[in-house]
Amino acid sequence: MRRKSEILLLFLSAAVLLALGFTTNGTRAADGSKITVAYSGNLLGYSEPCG
Amino acid sequence: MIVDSGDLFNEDEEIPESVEKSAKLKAELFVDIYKAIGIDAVNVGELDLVLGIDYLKELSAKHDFPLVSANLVGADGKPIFKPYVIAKAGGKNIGIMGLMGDTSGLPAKVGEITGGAATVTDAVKAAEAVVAELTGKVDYIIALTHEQANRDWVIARRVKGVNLVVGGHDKQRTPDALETDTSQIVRAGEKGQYQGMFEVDLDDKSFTNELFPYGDDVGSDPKIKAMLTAYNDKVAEMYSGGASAGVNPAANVELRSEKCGMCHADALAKWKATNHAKAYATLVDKAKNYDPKCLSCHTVLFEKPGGFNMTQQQMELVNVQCESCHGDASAHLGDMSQKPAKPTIQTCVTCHDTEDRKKDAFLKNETLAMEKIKHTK
Repeated sequence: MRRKSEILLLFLSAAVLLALGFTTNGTRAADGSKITVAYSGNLLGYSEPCG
Repeated sequence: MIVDSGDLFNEDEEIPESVEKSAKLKAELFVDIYKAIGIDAVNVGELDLVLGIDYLKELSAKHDFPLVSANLVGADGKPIFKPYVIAKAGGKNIGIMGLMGDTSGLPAKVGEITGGAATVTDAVKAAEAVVAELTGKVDYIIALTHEQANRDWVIARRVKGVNLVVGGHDKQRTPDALETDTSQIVRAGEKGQYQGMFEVDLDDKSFTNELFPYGDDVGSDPKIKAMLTAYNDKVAEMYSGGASAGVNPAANVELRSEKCGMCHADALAKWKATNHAKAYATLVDKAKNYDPKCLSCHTVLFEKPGGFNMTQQQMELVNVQCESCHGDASAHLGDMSQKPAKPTIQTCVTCHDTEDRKKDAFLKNETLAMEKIKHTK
């Protein structure tokens, strides 16, 4: 099986969100009147690549 | 804000008894991780309900986990979960509601899964009631939906006051947000191949939307990685009888495909050179060899008659062997005139079921895909 990120890595999700400016408690510093919504759906129990 | 549109915990409409305990362990893992990254709201999908309403309510209460659904009601006609939550972002109040689809067989499915304990009410009316309740209290309203994509348009257009629809159930994804006059619709696809990121200016209503693909170039978060490792260890302990995940218990075990090879030696030799023959070892390498979600595609006939079972852990049935594609060959072994099934490309895409798992490529070029695994003369 190809070793490649095929499905969501939730631990990567945290890394992505942190990289995009979210703090670990899930909210991003306010940029004026802007809000950012990070969204997922249909994860279906997948947490990390199997192999 | 961090939100999820549902079907978070589970993929199947039924959970085999032997998998139930690990499915709940996985659900707790998701809750822990989502709490750690600061989840604001999670809609309830019909497949989440397979874990049981009482279990989900207990999970939500125990971990203060924000499951929301405005139109999933119990026998008393009252919402089973919180209809909405109000979260804070950048000094603004954001209302987030959950909605289950009320068409396309979803209400019947919900009734079937919950044994009639949950009913789906009119999604538009439920959303309008939430908007009425939130008006004056929040600066922005998000509807997390779980329905066919076309129904998202109904919520976005008809329910005045909803600013953003984050769609689930339907597995489409939206690189560009879809727009009505007053709202947007976004979807992230399935199986977490993408993280959606929607940014909106509440003053001038301008917005951007982007889907970030997960790939090897994205690093890991140590805190979350530790949670995943702990889960892998716990699930291994559940099923291994003490062996560690990461140690290959299938080493030196004669695989069931050897029986096939007694008559089909050429086919067996060809198969041994394929990645299908190494499918279990890849799980061992990543300590995922007790995770049912992985074993379902890396073993033979997972949790089906004659197939690999989580409780029994039959090592002769690991890897993607002959019967994974051709079906149970017990009858054929007793009576050679009973031919096993001939797989089609649809057989392949039951596991090669995402873009990165080559689903699209396989479907576009079936001939090439079948050629890759050809092992008959």
